[in-house]
Amino acid sequence: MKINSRCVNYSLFIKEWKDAKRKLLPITAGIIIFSLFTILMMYALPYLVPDIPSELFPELTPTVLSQTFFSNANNILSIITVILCVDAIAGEREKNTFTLLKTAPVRDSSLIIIKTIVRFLLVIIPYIFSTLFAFFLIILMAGKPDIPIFLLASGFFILSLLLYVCIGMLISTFTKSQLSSGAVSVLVVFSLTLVSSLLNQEEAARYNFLQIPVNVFSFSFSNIEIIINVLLVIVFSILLLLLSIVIISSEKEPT
Amino acid sequence: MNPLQTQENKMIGVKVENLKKKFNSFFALKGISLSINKPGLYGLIGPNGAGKTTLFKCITGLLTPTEGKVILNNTAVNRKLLFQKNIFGFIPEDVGLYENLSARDFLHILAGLHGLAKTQRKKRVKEVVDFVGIKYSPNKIIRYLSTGQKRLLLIAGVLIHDPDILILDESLSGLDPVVRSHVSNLMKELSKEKIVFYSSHILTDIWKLSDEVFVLNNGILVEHDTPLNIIKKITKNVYYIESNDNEEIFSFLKKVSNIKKIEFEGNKILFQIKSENVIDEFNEILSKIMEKHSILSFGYYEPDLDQLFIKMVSSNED
Repeated sequence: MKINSRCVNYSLFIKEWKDAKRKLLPITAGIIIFSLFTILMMYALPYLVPDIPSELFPELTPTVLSQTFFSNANNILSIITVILCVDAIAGEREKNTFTLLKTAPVRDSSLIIIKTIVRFLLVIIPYIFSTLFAFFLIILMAGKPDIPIFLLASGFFILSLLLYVCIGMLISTFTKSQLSSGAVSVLVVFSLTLVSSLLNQEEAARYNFLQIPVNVFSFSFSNIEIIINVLLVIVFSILLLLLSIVIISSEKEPT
Repeated sequence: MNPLQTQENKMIGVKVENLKKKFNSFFALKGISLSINKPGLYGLIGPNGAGKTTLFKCITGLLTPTEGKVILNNTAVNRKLLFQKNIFGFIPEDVGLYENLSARDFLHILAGLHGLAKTQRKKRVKEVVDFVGIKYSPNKIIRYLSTGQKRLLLIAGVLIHDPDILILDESLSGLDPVVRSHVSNLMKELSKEKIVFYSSHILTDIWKLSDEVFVLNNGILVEHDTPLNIIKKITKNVYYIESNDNEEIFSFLKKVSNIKKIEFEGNKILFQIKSENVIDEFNEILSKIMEKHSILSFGYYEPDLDQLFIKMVSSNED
Protein backbone atom coordinates (compact mmCIF):
# COMPACT_ATOMS: atom_id res chain seq x y z
CA MET A 1 0.00 0.00 0.00
CA LYS A 2 2.90 2.35 0.69
CA ILE A 3 4.06 4.39 -2.25
CA ASN A 4 7.78 4.73 -2.93
CA SER A 5 7.90 8.54 -2.93
CA ARG A 6 11.54 8.66 -4.01
CA CYS A 7 10.69 6.75 -7.17
CA VAL A 8 7.71 8.99 -7.83
CA ASN A 9 9.67 12.22 -7.32
CA TYR A 10 12.66 11.00 -9.34
CA SER A 11 10.41 10.04 -12.25
CA LEU A 12 8.66 13.39 -12.09
CA PHE A 13 12.03 15.13 -12.14
CA ILE A 14 13.19 13.06 -15.14
CA LYS A 15 9.95 13.80 -16.98
CA GLU A 16 10.32 17.53 -16.35
CA TRP A 17 14.00 17.54 -17.15
CA LYS A 18 13.58 15.65 -20.44
CA ASP A 19 11.16 18.33 -21.52
CA ALA A 20 13.22 21.24 -20.19
CA LYS A 21 16.58 20.20 -21.62
CA ARG A 22 15.31 20.66 -25.18
CA LYS A 23 15.06 24.36 -24.39
CA LEU A 24 18.44 24.58 -22.70
CA LEU A 25 20.65 25.04 -25.76
CA PRO A 26 18.54 27.73 -27.49
CA ILE A 27 18.14 29.66 -24.23
CA THR A 28 21.87 29.44 -23.44
CA ALA A 29 22.81 30.53 -26.96
CA GLY A 30 20.28 33.37 -26.84
CA ILE A 31 21.50 34.69 -23.50
CA ILE A 32 25.17 34.49 -24.51
CA ILE A 33 24.40 36.48 -27.67
CA PHE A 34 22.50 38.93 -25.50
CA SER A 35 25.56 39.31 -23.19
CA LEU A 36 27.81 39.92 -26.16
CA PHE A 37 25.37 42.44 -27.60
CA THR A 38 24.99 44.24 -24.24
CA ILE A 39 28.74 44.78 -23.82
CA LEU A 40 29.52 45.59 -27.44
CA MET A 41 26.67 48.12 -27.49
CA MET A 42 28.51 50.17 -24.89
CA TYR A 43 31.43 50.48 -27.29
CA ALA A 44 29.19 51.13 -30.28
CA LEU A 45 27.07 53.80 -28.55
CA PRO A 46 29.27 56.85 -29.37
CA TYR A 47 29.20 55.84 -33.05
CA LEU A 48 25.47 55.19 -33.04
CA VAL A 49 24.62 58.61 -31.57
CA PRO A 50 27.42 60.89 -32.85
CA ASP A 51 25.51 64.09 -31.89
CA ILE A 52 26.08 63.50 -28.18
CA PRO A 53 29.48 64.81 -26.99
CA SER A 54 31.85 61.97 -26.11
CA GLU A 55 32.43 63.40 -22.57
CA LEU A 56 28.86 62.45 -21.69
CA PHE A 57 29.58 58.76 -22.25
CA PRO A 58 31.00 57.00 -19.20
CA GLU A 59 34.48 55.63 -19.31
CA LEU A 60 34.17 51.92 -20.08
CA THR A 61 35.83 50.48 -16.99
CA PRO A 62 35.31 46.82 -15.93
CA THR A 63 32.89 48.07 -13.22
CA VAL A 64 30.77 50.05 -15.69
CA LEU A 65 30.64 47.12 -18.10
CA SER A 66 29.77 44.67 -15.30
CA GLN A 67 27.03 47.00 -14.04
CA THR A 68 25.66 47.35 -17.58
CA PHE A 69 25.64 43.59 -18.06
CA PHE A 70 23.80 42.93 -14.77
CA SER A 71 21.35 45.76 -15.34
CA ASN A 72 20.36 44.47 -18.78
CA ALA A 73 20.41 40.86 -17.68
CA ASN A 74 18.12 41.81 -14.77
CA ASN A 75 15.58 43.36 -17.11
CA ILE A 76 15.60 40.65 -19.75
CA LEU A 77 16.14 37.49 -17.71
CA SER A 78 13.38 38.38 -15.24
CA ILE A 79 10.77 38.29 -18.01
CA ILE A 80 12.33 35.23 -19.72
CA THR A 81 12.35 33.38 -16.39
CA VAL A 82 8.71 34.03 -15.61
CA ILE A 83 7.65 33.16 -19.16
CA LEU A 84 9.59 29.87 -18.99
CA CYS A 85 7.40 28.90 -16.05
CA VAL A 86 4.03 29.47 -17.72
CA ASP A 87 3.88 25.92 -19.04
CA ALA A 88 4.54 24.34 -15.63
CA ILE A 89 0.91 23.84 -14.60
CA ALA A 90 -1.11 25.91 -17.11
CA GLY A 91 0.65 24.06 -19.96
CA GLU A 92 -0.21 20.66 -18.45
CA ARG A 93 -3.84 21.75 -18.14
CA GLU A 94 -3.91 23.06 -21.70
CA LYS A 95 -2.40 19.89 -23.19
CA ASN A 96 -4.67 17.70 -21.02
CA THR A 97 -1.69 15.93 -19.52
CA PHE A 98 -2.45 17.14 -16.01
CA THR A 99 -4.80 14.16 -15.55
CA LEU A 100 -1.80 11.82 -15.89
CA LEU A 101 -0.15 13.56 -12.94
CA LYS A 102 -3.30 13.99 -10.87
CA THR A 103 -4.17 10.30 -11.16
CA ALA A 104 -0.66 9.26 -10.15
CA PRO A 105 0.40 9.19 -6.49
CA VAL A 106 2.29 12.47 -6.73
CA ARG A 107 2.06 14.89 -3.81
CA ASP A 108 0.99 18.40 -4.73
CA SER A 109 3.97 19.78 -2.82
CA SER A 110 6.38 17.51 -4.75
CA LEU A 111 4.76 18.53 -8.00
CA ILE A 112 5.31 22.23 -7.36
CA ILE A 113 8.78 21.88 -5.84
CA ILE A 114 10.14 19.59 -8.59
CA LYS A 115 8.72 21.75 -11.35
CA THR A 116 10.28 24.79 -9.63
CA ILE A 117 13.69 23.10 -9.32
CA VAL A 118 13.70 22.10 -12.99
CA ARG A 119 12.73 25.57 -14.16
CA PHE A 120 15.31 27.11 -11.86
CA LEU A 121 17.96 24.85 -13.40
CA LEU A 122 16.70 25.75 -16.84
CA VAL A 123 17.34 29.40 -16.05
CA ILE A 124 20.54 29.29 -14.01
CA ILE A 125 22.49 27.01 -16.37
CA PRO A 126 22.24 29.49 -19.29
CA TYR A 127 22.75 32.34 -16.84
CA ILE A 128 26.01 30.84 -15.50
CA PHE A 129 27.33 30.31 -19.03
CA SER A 130 26.39 33.82 -20.10
CA THR A 131 27.91 35.36 -16.96
CA LEU A 132 31.15 33.47 -17.52
CA PHE A 133 31.12 34.63 -21.11
CA ALA A 134 30.46 38.25 -20.03
CA PHE A 135 33.19 38.00 -17.39
CA PHE A 136 35.84 36.92 -19.88
CA LEU A 137 34.61 39.41 -22.45
CA ILE A 138 34.94 42.24 -19.92
CA ILE A 139 38.49 41.08 -19.09
CA LEU A 140 39.27 41.03 -22.80
CA MET A 141 37.77 44.45 -23.53
CA ALA A 142 38.43 46.51 -20.38
CA GLY A 143 40.39 44.55 -17.81
CA LYS A 144 39.68 42.43 -14.75
CA PRO A 145 36.54 43.42 -12.79
CA ASP A 146 36.38 43.33 -8.98
CA ILE A 147 35.88 39.57 -8.54
CA PRO A 148 34.21 39.59 -5.04
CA ILE A 149 31.71 42.22 -6.20
CA PHE A 150 31.12 40.34 -9.46
CA LEU A 151 30.50 37.13 -7.51
CA LEU A 152 28.18 38.90 -5.07
CA ALA A 153 26.19 40.35 -7.97
CA SER A 154 26.02 36.92 -9.62
CA GLY A 155 24.91 35.26 -6.38
CA PHE A 156 22.17 37.81 -5.84
CA PHE A 157 21.14 37.53 -9.41
CA ILE A 158 20.73 33.76 -9.06
CA LEU A 159 18.62 34.33 -5.93
CA SER A 160 16.44 36.88 -7.69
CA LEU A 161 15.98 34.34 -10.52
CA LEU A 162 14.66 31.90 -7.91
CA LEU A 163 12.15 34.51 -6.86
CA TYR A 164 11.08 35.05 -10.48
CA VAL A 165 10.71 31.29 -10.97
CA CYS A 166 8.46 31.15 -7.90
CA ILE A 167 6.41 34.07 -9.26
CA GLY A 168 6.05 32.24 -12.60
CA MET A 169 5.04 29.02 -10.85
CA LEU A 170 2.35 30.80 -8.85
CA ILE A 171 0.94 32.45 -11.97
CA SER A 172 0.99 29.13 -13.84
CA THR A 173 -0.84 27.45 -10.96
CA PHE A 174 -3.86 29.71 -10.94
CA THR A 175 -4.22 30.30 -14.67
CA LYS A 176 -5.91 27.86 -17.03
CA SER A 177 -3.95 28.46 -20.22
CA GLN A 178 -0.41 29.33 -21.23
CA LEU A 179 -1.61 32.46 -22.99
CA SER A 180 -3.31 33.90 -19.92
CA SER A 181 -0.38 32.78 -17.81
CA GLY A 182 2.03 34.57 -20.15
CA ALA A 183 -0.06 37.74 -20.19
CA VAL A 184 -0.28 37.86 -16.38
CA SER A 185 3.46 37.15 -16.14
CA VAL A 186 4.40 40.08 -18.38
CA LEU A 187 2.13 42.38 -16.39
CA VAL A 188 3.53 41.24 -13.05
CA VAL A 189 7.19 41.50 -14.12
CA PHE A 190 6.71 44.99 -15.57
CA SER A 191 4.97 46.10 -12.38
CA LEU A 192 7.75 44.64 -10.24
CA THR A 193 10.44 46.28 -12.39
CA LEU A 194 8.63 49.60 -12.12
CA VAL A 195 8.23 49.35 -8.35
CA SER A 196 11.84 48.26 -7.81
CA SER A 197 13.06 51.15 -10.02
CA LEU A 198 11.03 53.63 -7.98
CA LEU A 199 12.36 52.16 -4.75
CA ASN A 200 15.94 52.36 -5.95
CA GLN A 201 16.70 55.60 -4.10
CA GLU A 202 18.54 56.42 -0.90
CA GLU A 203 18.05 54.00 2.00
CA ALA A 204 15.36 51.93 0.26
CA ALA A 205 17.91 50.95 -2.40
CA ARG A 206 19.85 48.98 0.23
CA TYR A 207 16.89 46.61 0.69
CA ASN A 208 15.66 46.68 -2.87
CA PHE A 209 16.62 43.06 -3.37
CA LEU A 210 15.66 42.92 -7.04
CA GLN A 211 18.19 45.65 -7.87
CA ILE A 212 21.04 44.44 -5.65
CA PRO A 213 23.00 42.81 -8.54
CA VAL A 214 23.22 46.29 -10.10
CA ASN A 215 23.52 48.31 -6.89
CA VAL A 216 26.50 46.36 -5.54
CA PHE A 217 28.61 48.16 -8.15
CA SER A 218 27.40 51.59 -6.95
CA PHE A 219 27.75 51.37 -3.19
CA SER A 220 29.01 48.95 -0.60
CA PHE A 221 26.71 46.76 1.48
CA SER A 222 27.32 45.68 5.04
CA ASN A 223 27.17 41.97 5.89
CA ILE A 224 23.90 42.51 7.78
CA GLU A 225 22.33 44.21 4.77
CA ILE A 226 23.42 41.32 2.56
CA ILE A 227 21.99 38.75 4.96
CA ILE A 228 18.70 40.68 5.24
CA ASN A 229 18.39 40.84 1.46
CA VAL A 230 19.18 37.14 1.08
CA LEU A 231 16.59 36.29 3.72
CA LEU A 232 14.02 38.55 2.10
CA VAL A 233 14.40 36.80 -1.28
CA ILE A 234 14.30 33.32 0.30
CA VAL A 235 11.27 34.11 2.47
CA PHE A 236 9.34 35.62 -0.45
CA SER A 237 10.24 32.62 -2.63
CA ILE A 238 9.09 30.14 0.01
CA LEU A 239 5.85 32.07 0.57
CA LEU A 240 5.12 32.04 -3.16
CA LEU A 241 5.84 28.31 -3.35
CA LEU A 242 3.59 27.62 -0.35
CA LEU A 243 0.84 29.67 -1.93
CA SER A 244 1.18 27.66 -5.17
CA ILE A 245 0.94 24.40 -3.20
CA VAL A 246 -2.13 25.61 -1.30
CA ILE A 247 -3.83 26.68 -4.54
CA ILE A 248 -3.17 23.40 -6.29
CA SER A 249 -4.20 21.30 -3.28
CA SER A 250 -7.45 23.13 -2.77
CA GLU A 251 -8.64 23.00 -6.37
CA LYS A 252 -11.97 21.24 -6.75
CA GLU A 253 -11.62 20.84 -10.50
CA PRO A 254 -7.92 20.45 -11.19
CA THR A 255 -8.16 19.12 -14.75
CA MET B 1 3.71 -9.35 -12.35
CA ASN B 2 1.32 -10.15 -15.10
CA PRO B 3 -1.11 -7.51 -16.44
CA LEU B 4 -3.95 -9.76 -15.49
CA GLN B 5 -2.66 -10.91 -12.19
CA THR B 6 -4.47 -9.77 -9.07
CA GLN B 7 -3.79 -10.73 -5.50
CA GLU B 8 -5.95 -13.50 -4.18
CA ASN B 9 -8.80 -12.62 -1.82
CA LYS B 10 -8.45 -8.93 -2.65
CA MET B 11 -11.73 -7.06 -2.35
CA ILE B 12 -12.28 -5.10 -5.51
CA GLY B 13 -15.21 -2.87 -6.11
CA VAL B 14 -16.65 0.51 -6.99
CA LYS B 15 -19.47 1.87 -4.87
CA VAL B 16 -21.12 5.20 -5.53
CA GLU B 17 -23.60 6.48 -2.96
CA ASN B 18 -26.05 9.28 -3.72
CA LEU B 19 -23.46 11.17 -5.75
CA LYS B 20 -24.31 14.74 -6.66
CA LYS B 21 -22.12 17.19 -8.53
CA LYS B 22 -23.08 20.77 -9.04
CA PHE B 23 -21.35 23.18 -11.44
CA ASN B 24 -22.48 26.71 -10.56
CA SER B 25 -26.26 26.27 -10.45
CA PHE B 26 -26.36 23.20 -12.73
CA PHE B 27 -26.49 19.69 -11.33
CA ALA B 28 -24.45 17.40 -13.61
CA LEU B 29 -25.12 14.42 -11.34
CA LYS B 30 -28.36 14.25 -9.38
CA GLY B 31 -27.85 11.53 -6.82
CA ILE B 32 -26.23 8.56 -8.54
CA SER B 33 -25.92 5.29 -6.67
CA LEU B 34 -24.30 2.21 -8.14
CA SER B 35 -22.31 -0.74 -7.00
CA ILE B 36 -19.88 -2.97 -8.86
CA ASN B 37 -18.28 -5.66 -6.79
CA LYS B 38 -16.86 -8.24 -9.14
CA PRO B 39 -14.57 -8.23 -12.15
CA GLY B 40 -16.26 -7.69 -15.48
CA LEU B 41 -16.98 -5.25 -18.24
CA TYR B 42 -19.37 -2.52 -17.22
CA GLY B 43 -20.62 -0.15 -19.88
CA LEU B 44 -21.87 3.35 -19.26
CA ILE B 45 -24.03 4.97 -21.90
CA GLY B 46 -25.90 8.22 -22.09
CA PRO B 47 -26.38 11.15 -24.44
CA ASN B 48 -23.91 14.03 -24.57
CA GLY B 49 -24.06 15.98 -21.33
CA ALA B 50 -25.62 13.08 -19.41
CA GLY B 51 -22.84 13.24 -16.83
CA LYS B 52 -20.68 10.24 -17.83
CA THR B 53 -17.33 12.05 -17.71
CA THR B 54 -18.34 13.86 -14.51
CA LEU B 55 -19.18 10.51 -12.92
CA PHE B 56 -15.83 9.04 -13.96
CA LYS B 57 -13.96 12.09 -12.71
CA CYS B 58 -15.76 11.89 -9.35
CA ILE B 59 -14.91 8.19 -9.07
CA THR B 60 -11.24 8.88 -9.73
CA GLY B 61 -11.13 11.85 -7.36
CA LEU B 62 -10.44 14.37 -10.11
CA LEU B 63 -13.65 16.15 -9.16
CA THR B 64 -14.88 16.67 -5.64
CA PRO B 65 -18.54 15.63 -5.34
CA THR B 66 -21.00 18.19 -4.02
CA GLU B 67 -22.73 15.43 -2.06
CA GLY B 68 -22.42 11.68 -1.62
CA LYS B 69 -19.37 9.47 -1.69
CA VAL B 70 -17.38 7.05 -3.78
CA ILE B 71 -15.79 3.94 -2.34
CA LEU B 72 -13.03 2.09 -4.18
CA ASN B 73 -11.93 -1.28 -2.82
CA ASN B 74 -13.60 -0.53 0.52
CA THR B 75 -11.98 2.88 1.08
CA ALA B 76 -13.74 6.17 0.50
CA VAL B 77 -12.12 8.22 -2.25
CA ASN B 78 -9.92 10.91 -0.82
CA ARG B 79 -7.45 12.82 -2.97
CA LYS B 80 -4.93 12.87 -0.15
CA LEU B 81 -4.71 9.07 0.01
CA LEU B 82 -1.90 8.51 -2.45
CA PHE B 83 -2.09 4.69 -2.39
CA GLN B 84 -5.65 4.95 -3.69
CA LYS B 85 -4.37 6.30 -6.99
CA ASN B 86 -2.79 2.92 -7.67
CA ILE B 87 -6.14 1.15 -7.24
CA PHE B 88 -7.48 2.52 -10.50
CA GLY B 89 -6.26 3.44 -13.94
CA PHE B 90 -8.13 6.16 -15.79
CA ILE B 91 -8.04 7.13 -19.45
CA PRO B 92 -10.13 10.28 -19.93
CA GLU B 93 -11.66 11.02 -23.31
CA ASP B 94 -9.46 14.01 -24.05
CA VAL B 95 -6.24 12.98 -22.31
CA GLY B 96 -3.00 14.33 -23.71
CA LEU B 97 0.37 12.65 -23.95
CA TYR B 98 3.88 13.96 -23.44
CA GLU B 99 4.38 14.34 -27.16
CA ASN B 100 8.15 14.87 -27.07
CA LEU B 101 8.90 11.69 -25.17
CA SER B 102 9.50 8.29 -26.77
CA ALA B 103 6.91 5.58 -26.11
CA ARG B 104 9.44 3.74 -23.95
CA ASP B 105 10.31 6.82 -21.87
CA PHE B 106 6.61 7.58 -21.44
CA LEU B 107 5.93 4.11 -20.01
CA HIS B 108 9.04 4.19 -17.81
CA ILE B 109 8.04 7.59 -16.44
CA LEU B 110 4.46 6.48 -15.78
CA ALA B 111 5.77 3.37 -14.02
CA GLY B 112 7.98 5.56 -11.86
CA LEU B 113 5.18 8.04 -11.18
CA HIS B 114 3.16 5.12 -9.80
CA GLY B 115 6.03 4.15 -7.52
CA LEU B 116 7.53 1.19 -9.38
CA ALA B 117 11.17 0.73 -8.44
CA LYS B 118 13.70 1.27 -11.20
CA THR B 119 14.74 -2.41 -11.11
CA GLN B 120 11.17 -3.58 -11.83
CA ARG B 121 10.32 -1.07 -14.51
CA LYS B 122 12.06 -2.62 -17.51
CA LYS B 123 10.41 -6.00 -16.95
CA ARG B 124 7.02 -4.47 -16.27
CA VAL B 125 7.14 -2.23 -19.35
CA LYS B 126 7.99 -5.26 -21.50
CA GLU B 127 5.11 -7.27 -20.00
CA VAL B 128 2.62 -4.51 -20.61
CA VAL B 129 3.87 -3.77 -24.13
CA ASP B 130 3.60 -7.47 -25.01
CA PHE B 131 0.15 -7.78 -23.47
CA VAL B 132 -1.24 -4.72 -25.20
CA GLY B 133 0.39 -5.73 -28.47
CA ILE B 134 2.41 -2.63 -29.24
CA LYS B 135 4.18 -3.50 -32.45
CA TYR B 136 5.92 -0.22 -33.26
CA SER B 137 9.41 0.68 -32.08
CA PRO B 138 9.33 1.85 -28.44
CA ASN B 139 11.86 4.51 -29.39
CA LYS B 140 9.30 6.23 -31.60
CA ILE B 141 8.47 9.75 -30.43
CA ILE B 142 4.85 10.01 -29.32
CA ARG B 143 3.95 12.92 -31.59
CA TYR B 144 4.68 10.72 -34.61
CA LEU B 145 2.30 7.95 -33.49
CA SER B 146 -1.13 7.42 -35.06
CA THR B 147 -4.34 7.76 -33.02
CA GLY B 148 -4.59 3.99 -32.67
CA GLN B 149 -0.95 3.67 -31.62
CA LYS B 150 -1.42 6.43 -29.07
CA ARG B 151 -4.51 4.70 -27.68
CA LEU B 152 -2.61 1.43 -27.26
CA LEU B 153 0.18 3.34 -25.53
CA LEU B 154 -2.33 4.90 -23.14
CA ILE B 155 -3.79 1.49 -22.37
CA ALA B 156 -0.29 0.17 -21.70
CA GLY B 157 0.32 3.21 -19.50
CA VAL B 158 -2.82 2.69 -17.50
CA LEU B 159 -1.92 -0.97 -16.89
CA ILE B 160 1.63 -0.27 -15.82
CA HIS B 161 0.80 -0.18 -12.09
CA ASP B 162 -1.55 -3.17 -12.35
CA PRO B 163 -4.72 -1.42 -11.13
CA ASP B 164 -7.81 -3.36 -9.99
CA ILE B 165 -10.21 -0.94 -11.62
CA LEU B 166 -9.93 0.45 -15.12
CA ILE B 167 -11.98 3.45 -16.07
CA LEU B 168 -12.02 4.20 -19.78
CA ASP B 169 -13.89 7.23 -21.04
CA GLU B 170 -14.70 6.89 -24.75
CA SER B 171 -11.64 4.74 -25.32
CA LEU B 172 -13.10 3.10 -28.41
CA SER B 173 -14.00 6.33 -30.18
CA GLY B 174 -12.00 7.52 -33.16
CA LEU B 175 -10.39 4.16 -33.83
CA ASP B 176 -10.48 2.19 -37.06
CA PRO B 177 -12.35 -1.17 -36.88
CA VAL B 178 -9.13 -3.21 -36.61
CA VAL B 179 -7.76 -1.27 -33.64
CA ARG B 180 -11.24 -1.03 -32.08
CA SER B 181 -11.63 -4.77 -32.24
CA HIS B 182 -8.14 -5.21 -30.76
CA VAL B 183 -8.90 -2.80 -27.90
CA SER B 184 -12.27 -4.51 -27.31
CA ASN B 185 -10.50 -7.87 -27.02
CA LEU B 186 -8.00 -6.37 -24.59
CA MET B 187 -10.82 -5.01 -22.48
CA LYS B 188 -12.58 -8.37 -22.50
CA GLU B 189 -9.35 -10.09 -21.46
CA LEU B 190 -8.71 -7.58 -18.68
CA SER B 191 -12.26 -7.87 -17.39
CA LYS B 192 -11.60 -11.46 -16.30
CA GLU B 193 -9.60 -10.17 -13.34
CA LYS B 194 -10.38 -6.48 -13.16
CA ILE B 195 -13.34 -4.17 -13.13
CA VAL B 196 -13.42 -2.42 -16.49
CA PHE B 197 -15.89 0.47 -16.35
CA TYR B 198 -16.08 2.22 -19.68
CA SER B 199 -18.22 4.57 -21.70
CA SER B 200 -18.69 4.61 -25.43
CA HIS B 201 -20.90 6.17 -28.01
CA ILE B 202 -20.56 3.04 -30.11
CA LEU B 203 -23.62 1.20 -28.84
CA THR B 204 -22.90 -2.06 -30.65
CA ASP B 205 -19.69 -2.36 -28.65
CA ILE B 206 -21.43 -1.59 -25.39
CA TRP B 207 -24.20 -4.17 -25.96
CA LYS B 208 -21.85 -6.79 -27.35
CA LEU B 209 -19.06 -6.45 -24.79
CA SER B 210 -20.63 -5.43 -21.50
CA ASP B 211 -21.63 -7.78 -18.74
CA GLU B 212 -23.78 -4.99 -17.32
CA VAL B 213 -24.87 -1.66 -18.70
CA PHE B 214 -25.58 1.56 -16.82
CA VAL B 215 -27.69 4.16 -18.61
CA LEU B 216 -27.24 7.74 -17.53
CA ASN B 217 -29.45 10.62 -18.61
CA ASN B 218 -29.57 14.17 -17.30
CA GLY B 219 -27.43 13.20 -14.33
CA ILE B 220 -29.75 10.35 -13.30
CA LEU B 221 -29.08 6.62 -13.57
CA VAL B 222 -32.13 5.51 -15.54
CA GLU B 223 -31.28 1.86 -16.11
CA HIS B 224 -28.88 -0.78 -14.87
CA ASP B 225 -28.98 -4.38 -15.98
CA THR B 226 -27.46 -6.87 -18.36
CA PRO B 227 -27.78 -5.81 -22.02
CA LEU B 228 -30.18 -8.70 -22.69
CA ASN B 229 -32.47 -7.79 -19.80
CA ILE B 230 -32.54 -4.14 -20.85
CA ILE B 231 -33.58 -5.12 -24.37
CA LYS B 232 -36.24 -7.44 -22.93
CA LYS B 233 -37.58 -4.77 -20.59
CA ILE B 234 -37.90 -2.20 -23.31
CA THR B 235 -39.24 -4.44 -26.01
CA LYS B 236 -41.39 -6.61 -23.76
CA ASN B 237 -44.47 -7.69 -25.70
CA VAL B 238 -43.94 -5.04 -28.32
CA TYR B 239 -45.05 -5.96 -31.84
CA TYR B 240 -45.09 -4.09 -35.11
CA ILE B 241 -47.28 -3.91 -38.16
CA GLU B 242 -46.38 -2.25 -41.44
CA SER B 243 -49.06 -1.42 -43.95
CA ASN B 244 -50.08 1.11 -46.56
CA ASP B 245 -53.13 1.91 -44.36
CA ASN B 246 -51.15 2.82 -41.30
CA GLU B 247 -53.48 5.68 -40.25
CA GLU B 248 -56.58 3.49 -40.22
CA ILE B 249 -54.78 0.65 -38.45
CA PHE B 250 -53.43 3.12 -35.88
CA SER B 251 -56.97 4.32 -35.18
CA PHE B 252 -58.19 0.77 -34.87
CA LEU B 253 -55.40 -0.23 -32.48
CA LYS B 254 -56.12 2.76 -30.29
CA LYS B 255 -59.53 1.31 -29.60
CA VAL B 256 -58.24 -2.12 -28.58
CA SER B 257 -58.35 -2.33 -24.80
CA ASN B 258 -55.40 -4.71 -24.36
CA ILE B 259 -52.96 -2.41 -26.08
CA LYS B 260 -50.88 -0.47 -23.60
CA LYS B 261 -48.72 1.72 -25.75
CA ILE B 262 -48.90 2.59 -29.43
CA GLU B 263 -46.59 4.70 -31.56
CA PHE B 264 -45.14 5.18 -35.02
CA GLU B 265 -41.54 4.34 -35.81
CA GLY B 266 -40.87 5.18 -39.44
CA ASN B 267 -43.36 3.17 -41.52
CA LYS B 268 -44.11 0.82 -38.67
CA ILE B 269 -46.75 0.95 -35.98
CA LEU B 270 -45.39 -0.31 -32.68
CA PHE B 271 -47.73 -1.48 -29.95
CA GLN B 272 -47.31 -3.17 -26.62
CA ILE B 273 -49.82 -5.84 -25.68
CA LYS B 274 -50.97 -6.12 -22.13
CA SER B 275 -52.41 -9.59 -21.81
CA GLU B 276 -51.68 -12.93 -20.19
CA ASN B 277 -51.69 -14.66 -23.51
CA VAL B 278 -49.83 -12.21 -25.67
CA ILE B 279 -49.43 -14.36 -28.77
CA ASP B 280 -53.12 -15.24 -28.97
CA GLU B 281 -54.00 -11.63 -28.43
CA PHE B 282 -51.62 -10.54 -31.18
CA ASN B 283 -53.02 -13.17 -33.57
CA GLU B 284 -56.54 -11.99 -32.86
CA ILE B 285 -55.62 -8.33 -33.45
CA LEU B 286 -53.77 -9.27 -36.61
CA SER B 287 -56.65 -11.28 -38.07
CA LYS B 288 -59.07 -8.41 -37.39
CA ILE B 289 -56.78 -5.98 -39.19
CA MET B 290 -56.22 -8.35 -42.11
CA GLU B 291 -59.97 -8.55 -42.69
CA LYS B 292 -59.95 -4.94 -43.86
CA HIS B 293 -56.34 -4.03 -44.72
CA SER B 294 -53.41 -5.54 -46.50
CA ILE B 295 -50.29 -5.86 -44.37
CA LEU B 296 -46.74 -5.53 -45.67
CA SER B 297 -44.98 -6.97 -42.64
CA PHE B 298 -45.56 -7.76 -38.99
CA GLY B 299 -43.78 -9.42 -36.09
CA TYR B 300 -42.05 -9.12 -32.75
CA TYR B 301 -40.29 -5.80 -32.48
CA GLU B 302 -36.48 -5.97 -32.26
CA PRO B 303 -35.19 -2.43 -32.24
CA ASP B 304 -31.77 -1.46 -33.46
CA LEU B 305 -29.47 -0.31 -30.71
CA ASP B 306 -29.71 3.35 -31.54
CA GLN B 307 -33.51 3.14 -31.31
CA LEU B 308 -33.22 1.32 -28.02
CA PHE B 309 -30.93 4.02 -26.68
CA ILE B 310 -33.29 6.78 -27.81
CA LYS B 311 -36.19 4.94 -26.19
CA MET B 312 -34.41 4.57 -22.88
CA VAL B 313 -33.39 8.19 -22.82
CA SER B 314 -36.73 9.56 -24.01
CA SER B 315 -38.78 7.40 -21.63
CA ASN B 316 -36.75 8.94 -18.83
CA GLU B 317 -37.39 12.45 -20.14
CA ASP B 318 -41.14 11.73 -20.27
